[in-house]
Amino acid sequence: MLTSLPACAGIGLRHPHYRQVLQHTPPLGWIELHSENFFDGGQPLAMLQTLAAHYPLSLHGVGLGPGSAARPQRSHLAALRRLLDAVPVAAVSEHLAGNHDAGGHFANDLLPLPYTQATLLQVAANVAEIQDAIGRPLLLENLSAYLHYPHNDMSEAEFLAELVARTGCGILLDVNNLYVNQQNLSVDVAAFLAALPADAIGEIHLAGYSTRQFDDGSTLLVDTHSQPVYPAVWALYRQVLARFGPRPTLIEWDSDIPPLDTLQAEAASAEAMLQELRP
Amino acid sequence: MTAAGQWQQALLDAIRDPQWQPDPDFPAAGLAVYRNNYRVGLMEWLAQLYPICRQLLGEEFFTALAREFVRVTPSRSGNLHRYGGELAGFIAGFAPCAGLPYLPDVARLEWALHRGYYAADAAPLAAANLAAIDPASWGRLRFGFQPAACVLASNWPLAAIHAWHQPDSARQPVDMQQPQPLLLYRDSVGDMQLTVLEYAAAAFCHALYQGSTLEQATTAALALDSGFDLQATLLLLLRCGALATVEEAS
Repeated sequence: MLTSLPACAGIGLRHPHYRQVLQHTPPLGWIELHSENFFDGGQPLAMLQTLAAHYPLSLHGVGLGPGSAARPQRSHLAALRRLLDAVPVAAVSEHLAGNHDAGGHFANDLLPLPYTQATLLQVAANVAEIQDAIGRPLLLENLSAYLHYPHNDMSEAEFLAELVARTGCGILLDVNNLYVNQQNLSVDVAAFLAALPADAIGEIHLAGYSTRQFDDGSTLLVDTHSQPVYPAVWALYRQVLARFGPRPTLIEWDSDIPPLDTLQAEAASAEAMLQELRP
Repeated sequence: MTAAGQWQQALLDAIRDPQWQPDPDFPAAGLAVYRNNYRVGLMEWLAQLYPICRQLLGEEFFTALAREFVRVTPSRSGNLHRYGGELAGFIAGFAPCAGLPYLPDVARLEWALHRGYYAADAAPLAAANLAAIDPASWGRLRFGFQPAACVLASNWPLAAIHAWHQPDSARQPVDMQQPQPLLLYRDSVGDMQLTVLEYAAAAFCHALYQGSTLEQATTAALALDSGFDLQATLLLLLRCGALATVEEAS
């Protein structure tokens, strides 16, 4: 099974809300936290164990960079494995992004990668190595990108579908990222959704972007997770649900984080759209 | 390397080095986003990691320091929590900070507090473990500290500087002539605690922390102060759970 998360709305739980959620355990369908913030022990790990007793938990990694041209960092993989041994977790995800080279130099970011046959071999090996180490399938998230390799053999969606076929991994479909790529890179949304294997969609992300202006007059949408979900992204979410059916859906907010109520209201909007699909 | 592999390497190199002339394959606006993410991401992380250094220097000075540190210090881990441990050494060699000779030790303290807070859990060594060992062999004992614990030798009043910069601080005057070597450990709820060590006790704890035997550490402490209280210092280490293992040196 790709995930045991319930097919309802959840929220990304971040530092400003830890205390409130631990004290009052408000009704939240499920919660997602960043894996690296809970390596290796102490209070953070203890807190995660407490949260796991109240909510289905998803761990979302930002640091393994399975899309890199080099193998995953061993120590990072070992730390993730120890975390999963210590806490019951319903889903584990990473990004289909690069972040390091074979010399061990990192950019702590989510970098685009070439979608070619040669890259596919390396990335499939990386994903298989991660899944072997953690003993469960990984959900891979589509990227918001600000540039792309000019000689791709396939689209990101086709690349994801190949990874699913070769490694048995799942897909975390970030609807905001897809929208951002449509605007920035003219990605064909209908073709993207058509290329994804429906059974592999284990989770959906929703978030807000920012618009950045450049000196040369160009603009880019930047995936800042600092805003409410935009109407165009909600509309795309409906389209996604119509194609794939209800899936666990997360409200992600990582900077200028609002009160918990605001996140819960966003989650309620997603829940209402999920509800429409239920018999 | 394949063309795709070369492109990935060039992208990483171009992001890390803002002087690098962008390859025509990389649109300027897109590359600018990644370069900005890289620099700002690491600088914001350092600001979060070193709140006391930031207060001591002021926002503008700290930002300049962080920018320069990030420029010369590549990230070696996908886990941001591992970045920034070399800041103390960098400050020691950074000319604009020469007027603040205590700043490197403050940075060492903040890094140790960070690493300690997240460090792996380990069962504390109990007094009973020690009592079970034949006293005749005590001199040859070596101790392993908790991953969260450490001993910081310093000639500066680190505990007072730390206390002064806490949000609820009463802001007692800090005597800069008063060295405060520290034992750092994590308490039972997971908060990091600072204990100021007396001069000889600091030498003893530091020697143990560096892997000296009990006899070597005791000799070093007694050389500084013939009144050094071995029993009280060992009890302190045991009581706060700073020790994790004991073994007899061969």
